[in-house]
Amino acid sequence: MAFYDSMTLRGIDPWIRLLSLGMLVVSFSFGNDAIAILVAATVLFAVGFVLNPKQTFHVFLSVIIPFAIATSVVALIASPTVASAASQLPKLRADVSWQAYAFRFTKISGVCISVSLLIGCLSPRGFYRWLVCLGTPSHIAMNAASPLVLIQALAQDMKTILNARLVQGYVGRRNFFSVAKQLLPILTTLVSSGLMTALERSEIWRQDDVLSLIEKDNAQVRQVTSNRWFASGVSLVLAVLVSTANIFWHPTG
Amino acid sequence: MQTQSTDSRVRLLAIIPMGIAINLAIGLTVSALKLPIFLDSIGTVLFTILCGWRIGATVGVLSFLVGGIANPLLPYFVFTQFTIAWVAGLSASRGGFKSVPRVILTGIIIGYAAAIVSAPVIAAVFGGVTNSGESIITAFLIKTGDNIWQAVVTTKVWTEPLDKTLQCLAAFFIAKSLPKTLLGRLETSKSLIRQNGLL
Repeated sequence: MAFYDSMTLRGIDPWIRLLSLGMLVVSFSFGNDAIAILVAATVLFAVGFVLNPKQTFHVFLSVIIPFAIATSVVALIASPTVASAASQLPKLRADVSWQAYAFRFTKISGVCISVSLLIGCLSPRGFYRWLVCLGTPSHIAMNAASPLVLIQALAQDMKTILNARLVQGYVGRRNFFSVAKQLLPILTTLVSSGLMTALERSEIWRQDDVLSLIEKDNAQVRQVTSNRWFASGVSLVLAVLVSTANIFWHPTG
Repeated sequence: MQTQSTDSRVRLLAIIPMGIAINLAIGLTVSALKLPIFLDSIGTVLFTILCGWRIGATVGVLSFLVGGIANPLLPYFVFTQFTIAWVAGLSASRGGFKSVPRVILTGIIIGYAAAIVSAPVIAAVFGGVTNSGESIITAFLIKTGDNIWQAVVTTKVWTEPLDKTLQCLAAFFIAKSLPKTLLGRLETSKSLIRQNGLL
Protein backbone atom coordinates (compact mmCIF):
# COMPACT_ATOMS: atom_id res chain seq x y z
CA MET A 1 0.00 0.00 0.00
CA ALA A 2 1.44 3.30 -0.99
CA PHE A 3 0.42 6.51 0.64
CA TYR A 4 1.24 9.88 -0.82
CA ASP A 5 0.37 12.73 1.46
CA SER A 6 -0.43 15.42 -1.07
CA MET A 7 -0.29 18.90 0.46
CA THR A 8 -3.33 20.22 -1.38
CA LEU A 9 -5.56 17.26 -0.60
CA ARG A 10 -4.31 17.12 2.99
CA GLY A 11 -5.56 20.65 3.58
CA ILE A 12 -9.23 19.83 3.09
CA ASP A 13 -11.34 20.35 6.21
CA PRO A 14 -12.40 16.98 7.74
CA TRP A 15 -16.14 17.62 7.46
CA ILE A 16 -15.84 19.01 3.91
CA ARG A 17 -13.85 15.88 3.03
CA LEU A 18 -16.62 13.65 4.41
CA LEU A 19 -19.36 15.71 2.74
CA SER A 20 -17.57 15.70 -0.63
CA LEU A 21 -16.97 11.96 -0.42
CA GLY A 22 -20.60 11.31 0.52
CA MET A 23 -21.92 13.42 -2.35
CA LEU A 24 -19.62 11.76 -4.87
CA VAL A 25 -20.36 8.20 -3.72
CA VAL A 26 -24.13 8.79 -3.66
CA SER A 27 -24.17 10.55 -7.03
CA PHE A 28 -22.08 7.83 -8.70
CA SER A 29 -24.30 5.17 -7.15
CA PHE A 30 -27.59 6.75 -8.24
CA GLY A 31 -26.58 8.53 -11.44
CA ASN A 32 -28.37 7.16 -14.49
CA ASP A 33 -26.59 8.51 -17.53
CA ALA A 34 -23.52 6.61 -18.69
CA ILE A 35 -21.89 9.54 -20.52
CA ALA A 36 -22.35 11.95 -17.59
CA ILE A 37 -20.83 9.42 -15.19
CA LEU A 38 -17.96 8.65 -17.56
CA VAL A 39 -17.16 12.37 -17.89
CA ALA A 40 -17.37 12.86 -14.11
CA ALA A 41 -15.12 9.86 -13.39
CA THR A 42 -12.61 11.04 -15.99
CA VAL A 43 -12.51 14.54 -14.47
CA LEU A 44 -11.89 13.09 -10.99
CA PHE A 45 -9.25 10.75 -12.38
CA ALA A 46 -7.49 13.73 -14.00
CA VAL A 47 -7.62 15.68 -10.71
CA GLY A 48 -6.23 12.63 -8.86
CA PHE A 49 -3.54 12.23 -11.52
CA VAL A 50 -2.40 15.83 -10.98
CA LEU A 51 -2.68 16.01 -7.18
CA ASN A 52 -1.97 12.46 -6.06
CA PRO A 53 -0.48 10.46 -8.96
CA LYS A 54 0.98 7.59 -6.91
CA GLN A 55 -2.27 6.60 -5.19
CA THR A 56 -4.34 7.20 -8.33
CA PHE A 57 -2.11 4.89 -10.38
CA HIS A 58 -2.15 2.31 -7.59
CA VAL A 59 -5.95 2.15 -7.60
CA PHE A 60 -6.05 2.23 -11.39
CA LEU A 61 -3.63 -0.67 -11.82
CA SER A 62 -4.64 -2.83 -8.86
CA VAL A 63 -8.42 -2.30 -8.79
CA ILE A 64 -9.86 -0.67 -11.91
CA ILE A 65 -7.87 -2.57 -14.57
CA PRO A 66 -8.52 -6.06 -13.02
CA PHE A 67 -12.19 -5.13 -12.59
CA ALA A 68 -12.34 -3.97 -16.23
CA ILE A 69 -10.88 -7.30 -17.37
CA ALA A 70 -13.35 -9.28 -15.21
CA THR A 71 -16.25 -7.17 -16.51
CA SER A 72 -15.18 -7.73 -20.13
CA VAL A 73 -14.87 -11.50 -19.65
CA VAL A 74 -18.27 -11.76 -17.94
CA ALA A 75 -19.94 -9.50 -20.52
CA LEU A 76 -18.39 -11.54 -23.34
CA ILE A 77 -19.85 -14.75 -21.91
CA ALA A 78 -23.15 -13.46 -20.56
CA SER A 79 -24.32 -10.80 -23.02
CA PRO A 80 -26.95 -12.26 -25.34
CA THR A 81 -26.25 -12.94 -29.00
CA VAL A 82 -28.69 -11.60 -31.58
CA ALA A 83 -30.42 -15.00 -31.75
CA SER A 84 -30.72 -15.51 -27.96
CA ALA A 85 -31.70 -11.88 -27.33
CA ALA A 86 -34.88 -12.33 -29.28
CA SER A 87 -36.01 -15.13 -26.97
CA GLN A 88 -35.25 -13.24 -23.74
CA LEU A 89 -37.37 -10.78 -21.85
CA PRO A 90 -36.41 -7.12 -22.54
CA LYS A 91 -35.63 -6.55 -18.81
CA LEU A 92 -33.26 -9.52 -18.65
CA ARG A 93 -31.63 -8.47 -21.93
CA ALA A 94 -31.04 -4.96 -20.57
CA ASP A 95 -29.43 -6.29 -17.37
CA VAL A 96 -26.78 -8.35 -19.15
CA SER A 97 -26.03 -6.30 -22.24
CA TRP A 98 -22.58 -4.83 -22.92
CA GLN A 99 -24.01 -1.37 -22.22
CA ALA A 100 -25.33 -2.47 -18.82
CA TYR A 101 -21.97 -3.98 -17.81
CA ALA A 102 -20.06 -0.91 -19.05
CA PHE A 103 -22.46 1.38 -17.14
CA ARG A 104 -22.02 -0.54 -13.86
CA PHE A 105 -18.25 -0.61 -14.37
CA THR A 106 -18.14 3.18 -14.89
CA LYS A 107 -20.22 3.82 -11.76
CA ILE A 108 -18.03 1.55 -9.60
CA SER A 109 -14.84 3.07 -11.04
CA GLY A 110 -16.20 6.52 -10.19
CA VAL A 111 -16.70 5.46 -6.57
CA CYS A 112 -13.19 3.95 -6.45
CA ILE A 113 -11.59 7.11 -7.87
CA SER A 114 -13.54 9.32 -5.40
CA VAL A 115 -12.40 7.23 -2.41
CA SER A 116 -8.83 7.18 -3.69
CA LEU A 117 -8.82 10.95 -4.25
CA LEU A 118 -10.24 11.97 -0.88
CA ILE A 119 -9.14 9.20 1.52
CA GLY A 120 -6.23 7.53 -0.27
CA CYS A 121 -4.19 10.72 -0.01
CA LEU A 122 -4.13 10.54 3.80
CA SER A 123 -1.09 9.21 5.63
CA PRO A 124 -1.82 6.90 8.61
CA ARG A 125 -1.45 9.90 10.95
CA GLY A 126 -3.61 12.05 8.68
CA PHE A 127 -6.25 9.31 8.63
CA TYR A 128 -6.19 9.16 12.46
CA ARG A 129 -6.56 12.95 12.72
CA TRP A 130 -9.39 12.94 10.19
CA LEU A 131 -11.32 10.34 12.19
CA VAL A 132 -10.72 12.16 15.49
CA CYS A 133 -11.78 15.51 14.00
CA LEU A 134 -15.01 13.85 12.87
CA GLY A 135 -15.70 12.98 16.50
CA THR A 136 -14.62 9.33 16.42
CA PRO A 137 -13.42 8.24 19.89
CA SER A 138 -9.63 8.34 19.83
CA HIS A 139 -9.16 4.65 20.71
CA ILE A 140 -11.40 3.61 17.80
CA ALA A 141 -9.53 6.00 15.48
CA MET A 142 -6.29 4.43 16.64
CA ASN A 143 -7.67 0.94 15.98
CA ALA A 144 -8.50 2.01 12.45
CA ALA A 145 -5.35 4.00 11.64
CA SER A 146 -2.53 2.01 13.22
CA PRO A 147 -3.01 -1.10 11.01
CA LEU A 148 -1.86 1.09 8.11
CA VAL A 149 1.54 1.32 9.79
CA LEU A 150 1.59 -2.26 11.11
CA ILE A 151 0.74 -3.78 7.73
CA GLN A 152 3.97 -2.41 6.26
CA ALA A 153 6.02 -4.03 9.05
CA LEU A 154 4.10 -7.30 8.69
CA ALA A 155 4.53 -7.32 4.90
CA GLN A 156 8.27 -6.96 5.45
CA ASP A 157 8.23 -9.82 8.02
CA MET A 158 6.27 -11.97 5.60
CA LYS A 159 8.82 -11.39 2.82
CA THR A 160 11.65 -12.32 5.21
CA ILE A 161 9.89 -15.54 6.28
CA LEU A 162 9.09 -16.49 2.68
CA ASN A 163 12.66 -15.82 1.51
CA ALA A 164 14.09 -17.79 4.45
CA ARG A 165 11.94 -20.80 3.54
CA LEU A 166 12.97 -20.49 -0.09
CA VAL A 167 16.66 -20.41 0.89
CA GLN A 168 16.19 -23.38 3.24
CA GLY A 169 14.77 -25.34 0.33
CA TYR A 170 11.26 -25.86 1.71
CA VAL A 171 9.86 -24.50 -1.52
CA GLY A 172 11.65 -26.70 -4.02
CA ARG A 173 9.71 -26.31 -7.21
CA ARG A 174 7.43 -23.34 -7.54
CA ASN A 175 4.25 -25.22 -8.39
CA PHE A 176 0.83 -24.78 -6.81
CA PHE A 177 1.07 -27.62 -4.26
CA SER A 178 4.62 -26.91 -3.05
CA VAL A 179 3.79 -23.23 -2.60
CA ALA A 180 0.37 -23.93 -1.03
CA LYS A 181 2.07 -26.22 1.51
CA GLN A 182 4.11 -23.22 2.67
CA LEU A 183 1.03 -21.12 3.33
CA LEU A 184 0.19 -22.57 6.76
CA PRO A 185 3.72 -22.45 8.25
CA ILE A 186 4.21 -18.90 6.96
CA LEU A 187 0.85 -17.71 8.27
CA THR A 188 1.37 -19.45 11.62
CA THR A 189 4.72 -17.72 12.07
CA LEU A 190 3.20 -14.40 11.01
CA VAL A 191 0.19 -14.69 13.35
CA SER A 192 2.30 -15.95 16.23
CA SER A 193 4.87 -13.15 16.01
CA GLY A 194 2.14 -10.54 15.43
CA LEU A 195 0.13 -11.63 18.47
CA MET A 196 3.24 -11.82 20.64
CA THR A 197 4.19 -8.28 19.62
CA ALA A 198 0.65 -7.05 20.36
CA LEU A 199 0.62 -8.63 23.81
CA GLU A 200 4.05 -7.26 24.70
CA ARG A 201 3.03 -3.84 23.42
CA SER A 202 -0.09 -3.89 25.61
CA GLU A 203 2.10 -4.60 28.66
CA ILE A 204 4.30 -1.59 27.88
CA TRP A 205 1.33 0.63 27.09
CA ARG A 206 -0.32 -0.27 30.37
CA GLN A 207 2.71 1.05 32.24
CA ASP A 208 2.85 4.20 30.12
CA ASP A 209 -0.86 4.89 30.62
CA VAL A 210 -1.34 5.18 26.87
CA LEU A 211 -5.04 6.02 27.15
CA SER A 212 -4.33 9.36 28.85
CA LEU A 213 -1.66 10.10 26.23
CA ILE A 214 -4.19 9.46 23.48
CA GLU A 215 -6.70 11.75 25.15
CA LYS A 216 -4.09 14.54 25.25
CA ASP A 217 -3.25 13.95 21.60
CA ASN A 218 -6.97 13.99 20.86
CA ALA A 219 -7.29 17.51 22.31
CA GLN A 220 -4.29 18.72 20.30
CA VAL A 221 -5.61 17.21 17.08
CA ARG A 222 -8.88 19.09 17.49
CA GLN A 223 -6.98 22.37 17.90
CA VAL A 224 -4.87 21.72 14.82
CA THR A 225 -7.99 21.59 12.60
CA SER A 226 -6.80 23.31 9.46
CA ASN A 227 -7.91 26.68 8.31
CA ARG A 228 -7.14 26.10 4.67
CA TRP A 229 -10.39 27.29 3.20
CA PHE A 230 -9.10 27.34 -0.34
CA ALA A 231 -8.54 23.56 -0.58
CA SER A 232 -11.83 22.90 1.21
CA GLY A 233 -13.73 25.33 -1.00
CA VAL A 234 -12.32 23.89 -4.22
CA SER A 235 -13.07 20.37 -3.01
CA LEU A 236 -16.66 21.25 -2.14
CA VAL A 237 -17.29 23.11 -5.41
CA LEU A 238 -15.82 20.23 -7.45
CA ALA A 239 -17.86 17.66 -5.52
CA VAL A 240 -21.07 19.68 -5.99
CA LEU A 241 -20.43 20.13 -9.72
CA VAL A 242 -19.58 16.48 -10.32
CA SER A 243 -22.49 15.22 -8.21
CA THR A 244 -24.96 17.56 -9.93
CA ALA A 245 -23.68 16.43 -13.32
CA ASN A 246 -24.03 12.77 -12.30
CA ILE A 247 -27.61 13.16 -11.17
CA PHE A 248 -29.10 15.85 -13.45
CA TRP A 249 -27.06 15.90 -16.68
CA HIS A 250 -28.40 13.61 -19.40
CA PRO A 251 -26.31 14.10 -22.57
CA THR A 252 -27.69 10.89 -24.11
CA GLY A 253 -31.24 12.12 -23.60
CA MET B 1 -12.81 -2.63 38.50
CA GLN B 2 -11.75 0.60 36.76
CA THR B 3 -8.18 -0.72 36.34
CA GLN B 4 -9.48 -3.99 34.90
CA SER B 5 -11.56 -2.10 32.35
CA THR B 6 -8.60 0.14 31.44
CA ASP B 7 -6.33 -2.91 31.14
CA SER B 8 -8.78 -4.58 28.83
CA ARG B 9 -9.09 -1.40 26.69
CA VAL B 10 -5.31 -1.13 26.42
CA ARG B 11 -5.06 -4.80 25.45
CA LEU B 12 -7.73 -4.39 22.79
CA LEU B 13 -5.93 -1.28 21.54
CA ALA B 14 -2.89 -3.47 20.89
CA ILE B 15 -4.66 -6.62 19.64
CA ILE B 16 -7.32 -5.23 17.27
CA PRO B 17 -4.97 -3.19 15.01
CA MET B 18 -2.58 -6.16 14.89
CA GLY B 19 -5.54 -8.41 13.98
CA ILE B 20 -6.52 -6.06 11.18
CA ALA B 21 -2.93 -5.87 9.93
CA ILE B 22 -2.63 -9.68 10.08
CA ASN B 23 -5.94 -10.05 8.20
CA LEU B 24 -4.67 -7.71 5.47
CA ALA B 25 -1.20 -9.32 5.49
CA ILE B 26 -2.75 -12.76 4.87
CA GLY B 27 -4.14 -11.35 1.62
CA LEU B 28 -0.65 -10.08 0.76
CA THR B 29 0.86 -13.49 1.58
CA VAL B 30 -1.57 -15.26 -0.72
CA SER B 31 -0.84 -12.85 -3.54
CA ALA B 32 2.93 -13.10 -2.87
CA LEU B 33 2.69 -16.89 -3.16
CA LYS B 34 0.70 -16.38 -6.39
CA LEU B 35 -2.01 -18.79 -5.24
CA PRO B 36 -5.21 -18.60 -7.30
CA ILE B 37 -7.45 -18.46 -4.20
CA PHE B 38 -9.07 -15.77 -2.06
CA LEU B 39 -8.42 -16.04 1.66
CA ASP B 40 -10.06 -12.85 2.83
CA SER B 41 -11.66 -14.20 6.01
CA ILE B 42 -8.98 -16.36 7.66
CA GLY B 43 -8.04 -13.54 10.02
CA THR B 44 -11.68 -12.88 10.90
CA VAL B 45 -12.32 -16.55 11.73
CA LEU B 46 -8.99 -16.91 13.53
CA PHE B 47 -9.52 -13.86 15.75
CA THR B 48 -13.07 -15.02 16.47
CA ILE B 49 -11.70 -18.35 17.75
CA LEU B 50 -8.91 -16.66 19.71
CA CYS B 51 -10.62 -13.55 21.06
CA GLY B 52 -14.39 -14.01 20.74
CA TRP B 53 -16.89 -12.96 18.09
CA ARG B 54 -16.99 -9.26 18.99
CA ILE B 55 -13.26 -8.83 18.43
CA GLY B 56 -13.45 -11.12 15.38
CA ALA B 57 -16.23 -8.97 13.93
CA THR B 58 -14.34 -5.74 14.74
CA VAL B 59 -11.21 -7.13 13.08
CA GLY B 60 -13.18 -8.29 10.00
CA VAL B 61 -15.25 -5.14 9.56
CA LEU B 62 -12.36 -2.72 10.20
CA SER B 63 -10.07 -4.76 7.90
CA PHE B 64 -12.49 -4.30 5.03
CA LEU B 65 -13.06 -0.61 5.83
CA VAL B 66 -9.36 0.17 6.24
CA GLY B 67 -8.50 -2.06 3.25
CA GLY B 68 -10.94 0.14 1.31
CA ILE B 69 -8.25 2.83 1.17
CA ALA B 70 -6.21 0.59 -1.13
CA ASN B 71 -9.12 -1.34 -2.67
CA PRO B 72 -12.38 0.65 -2.57
CA LEU B 73 -14.41 -2.44 -3.50
CA LEU B 74 -13.78 -4.09 -0.10
CA PRO B 75 -16.10 -1.93 2.07
CA TYR B 76 -19.12 -3.23 0.16
CA PHE B 77 -18.56 -6.57 1.92
CA VAL B 78 -18.24 -5.43 5.55
CA PHE B 79 -21.56 -6.96 6.50
CA THR B 80 -20.36 -10.31 5.15
CA GLN B 81 -17.37 -10.09 7.49
CA PHE B 82 -19.65 -9.30 10.41
CA THR B 83 -21.83 -12.32 9.58
CA ILE B 84 -18.81 -14.62 9.24
CA ALA B 85 -17.53 -13.56 12.69
CA TRP B 86 -20.97 -13.89 14.26
CA VAL B 87 -21.63 -17.39 12.86
CA ALA B 88 -18.04 -18.49 13.61
CA GLY B 89 -18.41 -17.24 17.19
CA LEU B 90 -21.74 -19.02 17.60
CA SER B 91 -20.21 -22.22 16.30
CA ALA B 92 -17.03 -21.85 18.38
CA SER B 93 -19.10 -21.44 21.55
CA ARG B 94 -20.59 -24.89 20.78
CA GLY B 95 -17.20 -26.50 20.10
CA GLY B 96 -17.40 -26.07 16.33
CA PHE B 97 -13.60 -25.84 16.06
CA LYS B 98 -12.84 -28.93 18.16
CA SER B 99 -12.05 -31.39 15.36
CA VAL B 100 -11.65 -31.44 11.58
CA PRO B 101 -15.17 -32.81 10.83
CA ARG B 102 -16.70 -30.12 13.06
CA VAL B 103 -14.61 -27.43 11.36
CA ILE B 104 -15.81 -28.66 7.96
CA LEU B 105 -19.43 -28.45 9.16
CA THR B 106 -18.77 -24.95 10.55
CA GLY B 107 -17.19 -23.90 7.25
CA ILE B 108 -20.24 -25.08 5.31
CA ILE B 109 -22.62 -23.20 7.63
CA ILE B 110 -20.49 -20.03 7.46
CA GLY B 111 -20.38 -20.43 3.67
CA TYR B 112 -24.16 -20.48 3.37
CA ALA B 113 -24.47 -17.50 5.74
CA ALA B 114 -21.86 -15.55 3.73
CA ALA B 115 -23.64 -16.48 0.49
CA ILE B 116 -26.96 -15.12 1.76
CA VAL B 117 -25.36 -11.83 2.81
CA SER B 118 -22.97 -11.24 -0.10
CA ALA B 119 -25.17 -12.38 -3.02
CA PRO B 120 -27.48 -9.32 -2.94
CA VAL B 121 -24.46 -6.97 -2.96
CA ILE B 122 -22.81 -8.79 -5.86
CA ALA B 123 -26.04 -8.95 -7.86
CA ALA B 124 -27.35 -5.44 -7.17
CA VAL B 125 -24.12 -3.42 -7.07
CA PHE B 126 -21.74 -5.37 -9.27
CA GLY B 127 -24.17 -7.09 -11.66
CA GLY B 128 -22.53 -10.44 -10.85
CA VAL B 129 -18.98 -9.31 -11.62
CA THR B 130 -16.25 -9.64 -9.01
CA ASN B 131 -12.51 -10.05 -9.44
CA SER B 132 -12.73 -13.75 -8.55
CA GLY B 133 -13.10 -16.73 -10.88
CA GLU B 134 -16.65 -17.36 -9.67
CA SER B 135 -17.83 -14.52 -11.94
CA ILE B 136 -17.25 -16.85 -14.88
CA ILE B 137 -19.64 -19.43 -13.38
CA THR B 138 -22.19 -16.62 -12.89
CA ALA B 139 -21.73 -15.55 -16.52
CA PHE B 140 -22.29 -19.11 -17.79
CA LEU B 141 -25.45 -19.41 -15.70
CA ILE B 142 -26.73 -16.12 -17.15
CA LYS B 143 -25.92 -17.47 -20.60
CA THR B 144 -28.05 -20.55 -19.90
CA GLY B 145 -31.06 -18.36 -19.14
CA ASP B 146 -30.87 -17.43 -15.44
CA ASN B 147 -31.31 -13.79 -14.51
CA ILE B 148 -28.46 -12.06 -12.60
CA TRP B 149 -30.00 -12.72 -9.19
CA GLN B 150 -30.59 -16.44 -9.80
CA ALA B 151 -27.11 -16.83 -11.32
CA VAL B 152 -25.33 -15.05 -8.44
CA VAL B 153 -27.26 -16.91 -5.73
CA THR B 154 -26.64 -20.30 -7.41
CA THR B 155 -22.93 -19.54 -7.82
CA LYS B 156 -22.57 -18.37 -4.23
CA VAL B 157 -24.46 -21.35 -2.81
CA TRP B 158 -21.97 -23.68 -4.54
CA THR B 159 -18.71 -21.77 -4.12
CA GLU B 160 -18.98 -20.10 -0.70
CA PRO B 161 -19.26 -23.29 1.43
CA LEU B 162 -16.14 -24.67 -0.28
CA ASP B 163 -14.23 -21.41 0.06
CA LYS B 164 -15.21 -20.85 3.69
CA THR B 165 -14.52 -24.50 4.64
CA LEU B 166 -10.95 -24.09 3.34
CA GLN B 167 -10.59 -20.82 5.25
CA CYS B 168 -11.98 -22.33 8.48
CA LEU B 169 -9.60 -25.28 8.14
CA ALA B 170 -6.69 -22.90 7.62
CA ALA B 171 -7.72 -20.82 10.67
CA PHE B 172 -8.14 -24.02 12.73
CA PHE B 173 -4.69 -25.37 11.82
CA ILE B 174 -3.05 -21.99 12.46
CA ALA B 175 -4.78 -21.74 15.88
CA LYS B 176 -3.70 -25.30 16.71
CA SER B 177 -0.09 -24.56 15.75
CA LEU B 178 0.18 -21.44 17.92
CA PRO B 179 2.26 -21.84 21.08
CA LYS B 180 0.14 -22.78 24.13
CA THR B 181 1.82 -20.08 26.18
CA LEU B 182 0.63 -17.49 23.67
CA LEU B 183 -2.93 -18.85 23.72
CA GLY B 184 -2.86 -18.81 27.51
CA ARG B 185 -2.12 -15.09 27.46
CA LEU B 186 -5.22 -14.27 25.43
CA GLU B 187 -7.47 -13.72 28.42
CA THR B 188 -10.24 -12.15 26.36
CA SER B 189 -11.60 -15.50 25.30
CA LYS B 190 -9.85 -18.24 27.19
CA SER B 191 -13.11 -20.16 27.60
CA LEU B 192 -13.66 -20.26 23.83
CA ILE B 193 -10.11 -21.48 23.28
CA ARG B 194 -10.60 -24.19 25.94
CA GLN B 195 -14.03 -25.18 24.61
CA ASN B 196 -12.45 -25.98 21.27
CA GLY B 197 -9.58 -27.95 22.79
CA LEU B 198 -6.89 -25.52 21.67
CA LEU B 199 -5.47 -25.07 25.18
